[in-house]
Order: sequence, then C-alpha cells, then structure tokens
Amino acid sequence: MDAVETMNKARSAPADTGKTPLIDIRNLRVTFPSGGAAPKTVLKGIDLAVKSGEIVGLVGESGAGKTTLARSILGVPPGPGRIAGGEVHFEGRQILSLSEAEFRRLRGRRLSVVVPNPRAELNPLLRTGDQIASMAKIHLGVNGKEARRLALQMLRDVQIPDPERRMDAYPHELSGGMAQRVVIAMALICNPAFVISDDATSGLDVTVQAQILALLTKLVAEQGSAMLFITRDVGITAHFCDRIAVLFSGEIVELAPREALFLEPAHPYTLMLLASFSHSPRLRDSWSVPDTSRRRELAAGCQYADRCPIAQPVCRERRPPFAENGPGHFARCHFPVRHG
Amino acid sequence: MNSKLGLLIRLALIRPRFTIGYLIVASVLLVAILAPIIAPYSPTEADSQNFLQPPSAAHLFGTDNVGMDIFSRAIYAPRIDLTIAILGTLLSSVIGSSIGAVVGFYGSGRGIRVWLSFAIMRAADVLQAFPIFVFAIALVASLGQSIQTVVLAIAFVNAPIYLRLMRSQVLSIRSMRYVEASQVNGLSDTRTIIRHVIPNAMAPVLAQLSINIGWGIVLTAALSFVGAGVRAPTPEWGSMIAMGFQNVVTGQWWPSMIPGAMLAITVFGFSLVGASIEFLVDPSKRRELLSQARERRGHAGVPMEDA
Repeated sequence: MDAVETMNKARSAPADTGKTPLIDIRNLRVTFPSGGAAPKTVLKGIDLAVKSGEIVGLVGESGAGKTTLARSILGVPPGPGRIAGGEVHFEGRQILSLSEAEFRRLRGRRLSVVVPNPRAELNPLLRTGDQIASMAKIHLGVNGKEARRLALQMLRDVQIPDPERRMDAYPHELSGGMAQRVVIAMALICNPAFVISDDATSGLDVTVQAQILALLTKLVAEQGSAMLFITRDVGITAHFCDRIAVLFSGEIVELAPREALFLEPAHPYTLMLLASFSHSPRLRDSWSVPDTSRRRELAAGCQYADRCPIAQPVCRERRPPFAENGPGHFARCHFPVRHG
Repeated sequence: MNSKLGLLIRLALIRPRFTIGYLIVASVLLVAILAPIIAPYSPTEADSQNFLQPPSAAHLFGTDNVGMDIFSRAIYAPRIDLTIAILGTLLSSVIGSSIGAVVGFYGSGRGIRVWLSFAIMRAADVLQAFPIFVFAIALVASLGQSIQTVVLAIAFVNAPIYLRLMRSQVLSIRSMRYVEASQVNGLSDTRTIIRHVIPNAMAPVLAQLSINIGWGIVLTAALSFVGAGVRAPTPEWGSMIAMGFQNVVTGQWWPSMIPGAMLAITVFGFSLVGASIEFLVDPSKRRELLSQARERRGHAGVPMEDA
C-alpha cells in the first residue's frame, strides 16, 4: 500500500532512546463517581513515557479507558471524571499540579489532541477557517490576518482539496474525511511537542484512513513532535508505531516495541487481541475470544482473570507485577506466554 | 452582511408568511417613526365639539369620547408600546439568558455552584408560579406608576423564560463535543461560554425575543387598560381601548376596536418574525429550508464532497 510506504519513509529516523522522556505519565489514576457507592476507578495507575520523535500506540477495546487517558493527560478528564492521583511530567514540569491558567496555555499549544467524530468537534456556527485561525490567535498571539494565513497554510498541509474555499465552509458542508483534516489542522497549527491522536481515524473508510494516518505521521515527523496514537485497531499500529501499549480495563497490561508485541506477545489478552485479527486458523482456534461481556471488576488480582483462558487461582488474589520479559517488553501477568 | 440580506430575501420568498410578518413589523415601525408627519391632528388634543364622531374624511378613524382623533392617536401609540415592549424584552433577555448560561454551564457536578444554581432555579419557579399579569400589576403598584416601571415589570416577569430557555440549551450544548474540545484546546471557561456555548444556544432565544416583544406589547396594553400602565391622554393602545370600551355596546365601536385591531396585527407580525429568525440563525435549519426550495424548483444543488 502506497500510504504505508509514505508513512515509513517519513519515519526513517528512529527514536532517540537515550534521551529523557518528553512526557512521563506516572501512576495516573482517574475515578468516576458512581451514585453513592465508592467511586469507580477507570484508570488504575497508568505509567507511560514517550520520548521526543517517538510514536507510541495505545490499543484497547471500548471502555478500556483510552479517551479518559487522552483527556486526563491534558488535565480535563471527560464528564464527571476526576484525577485521583499520579503525575504527568512534561518538558520538565509536573503539569497536573499547574494552575488552571498555566495548564490552559499548554493545551492546544504544546500538547494537543486530535479528536474522533470530527464533525461533532467543530462548532457548527463558525466557518472552519475561523476555527483553525482562532487556535493560532489564542495560543500564538498573532493577529487575525496572520492567523488566517497560518490556517490556510495548515489546510494546505493537511491536503484538503480546494483549501481557499474550505476556509469559508461551515462544518456541515464538510465530508467526514475533510472534517478530520480540519481537526488535525487545528491540533497541529501551534506546532505542539506532543500530539495525542484519539481514535482519529475511526468511522472513516480504509482508504481515507490510510491517507489521514500517513498525513498525521508525516506532519508529526516534520514538526519533530512525539505522538500517542490511540486506537482500537491493533492492526493499524503495526505500520508506524515505535512501541505499543495495550490497555485493558484501565491498566496497561503490556508494553513492547512493535516487533516484540506482534511476534512475541506476552500477555494472554494481547495474544487474544492479535488472534482476533489473525488469519491463522491454528492461532484462532487455540486462542478464540471468550465471552467479552464478562467483565467483572476485581478488587485485587488481575483485571483479566475472568476472561483469561489460562487463569490460575493466584490470578484472582494478587495483582501481577509489570514485569520485564525482554528488552523494553513489559507485561502485567503472572504467567506470561512463552514463545519459541 | 450583504449575503445575510440576500438570505433574508430568499427566505421571505420561500415562506410568504414570513414576508407578511416582516411587512407588518416594518410598517408598524415606519408609521411610529413617521407619526408626527402623517398624523393630521395632535394625538393629545381634544376637540370637545366633535366627540364620538364615526369615521369620516375629516377623522379617518373617527374620534373618541372626548373628541381626540383616533387615527392620530393610533399611529402615535406604537411609539410608546413598542419602546416599552422592546426595552423590557431586551432587558429581560440579557438578564435571563446570561444567568441561564452560567447556571446551565456550572449547574452540575459538585460544591457551591450546584446549590447556587438550585437556588436560582427555584427562585425562577416562584416567579413563574405567579400569574404574569397579576405579578406585573403588583410590581407597578409597589414601584409607582411610570413608563420605567412598566419596562421593569416586563423585564422581570419575562426573565425566567430566558433563564430556563438558555439553561436548557446550555445543558445540552455543554456536553457537545466541540465544547469539550474547546477545553482540550486550551480555551478558558469564559471564552468557551462566549465563543462556543452562547452562540449555539442563541437561536431559540432570538426567536423567543421577537415573540416576547409581541407579548410585551399585549402586557403593556393590558396594564394600561386596567389603569396600571400608561395614563391617558398619552396615546397608547391599551388605554385607548379602555377609554372606548363602554361605547361599544351603544354602537360606537371605533374608539376601541381600531386600536385593538392594530394591537392584534402587530403582535401577529412579531410572532411571524420570531418564527423566521429561528431559520435565519440556525445554519442547518436554514440549509434544510433552502434545499427544500431548490428541490421544489427542480434542480438539486451540488453538495461539496471530498475529492
């Protein structure tokens, strides 16, 4: 596929693994109130570090906490959610302890999110050009004319057809793919150091999806930014992510370099996830996905125990450690799958 | 702005009843402005020789029971009625919808904000529980009878409508993704409310504004009718109706029927304008209407598509 090649070409420079991480999420915990009862913990202590120039994939099923994580990194968890603990270090500062006004200056400028359902993310009453330009106006302090020039340049960069005309289009006049490009333009206009792509390609057909991905990775590479790429499609991450984290029920259950994750998945959940995409009958038969509706929250023990085909009594009693199974390859499992 | 005007004309062509509304409101405004030029007599001068004259060439709409020219009075009246109604309605919408927006935006979650919103909403309930008219009379009676008081009364009794309307709009708009996105993009709450929340909540408020101006005219006239609003001889529709209504049974219908009819037509006109405003300010509603019209003409527009 052409787009994939472009992606990989754009990302020829490998991540510099020696540097201190650009963003370092430490034991991030987010709770949601649940009507009188004890609040429900949606993120159960996330640890994740991303270096400059690196693209980290984050894979998880619906309800795993992907969007909550994306929004919590920016200090605005969705809905009634509350950050209950943890730290996010970004460019040398613990940003979760910043004042609201200081934090606000980072959002959209140094840290930005490319959101899903792009048409719903745009104000229906404002022309797209004005919405993109307002980001530059607010964060970069440029005047209206300069902001519009930047916005138009950004629309060209995201390869929207007929950018001059789209500047004056209302969101309902855009197709899904165009709206996604507009949202990317909004997220990248201030040259953020860290971009979170939150399921940015869901709901688009595969050819448009490939174009958008190529574009996103290219722009991130050009700007020298790092990216957290959140998706529910583990297959996508194989194309361009340096490392991949697997999120399950608010926990990162596995974190590995790309090859290691796909060739030697250590956590049974990861294996199952890969098996569900696999064309190998042997893999599918031996690791068929069990009843996914079974998702009981365990106070102690492994979150995956109820669905795990190889669970032992100890799995329900003790939370497994996030142990290293290979270079840079971590899994939260008492009985990591051995390969070879 | 030129395109807005063009749009207005296109809307008027698609929905002829909107045109009627605009024509009514425009002519009432025009007549009120030009009243000193058009009026053949002074609106407050009584000709005691010629009282209760039926409509004639000398007195187009006749004269009332003290001999004032009804035509002159009826075209001077909207100056008072419209001013009171428009000022009162604008005041109530500004007060009501700004409180409503804040209450809607902060009214859920935790802490003092929730209690404050709760208190404000219950206060609005109490205000709305009173019959509006009785409440307005009570206000005028306690604050003293003057034009300013009537304006305040209209503002006060209508404010809860805007408060509720704005709050309910904001409640749904607040959870819209573009509002959440604006926080993610680093906009402050104030900027979010002003730039994203209020503009999207405005459509029904603007429509309500025009409808409420109509109601405001009725309320002004009603207060004057019972003697709590504007006093004769100031030309005002309500007090004109009040002056003439005893004569209707004896066959002299014109002193009260003519201002009554003008009142009714004016209110009707403002209601139509209100209905059209909703189409004007909501792009998707507008698009729907315009595309319906295009289909009826037989050539569908070319939608923008991803190339």
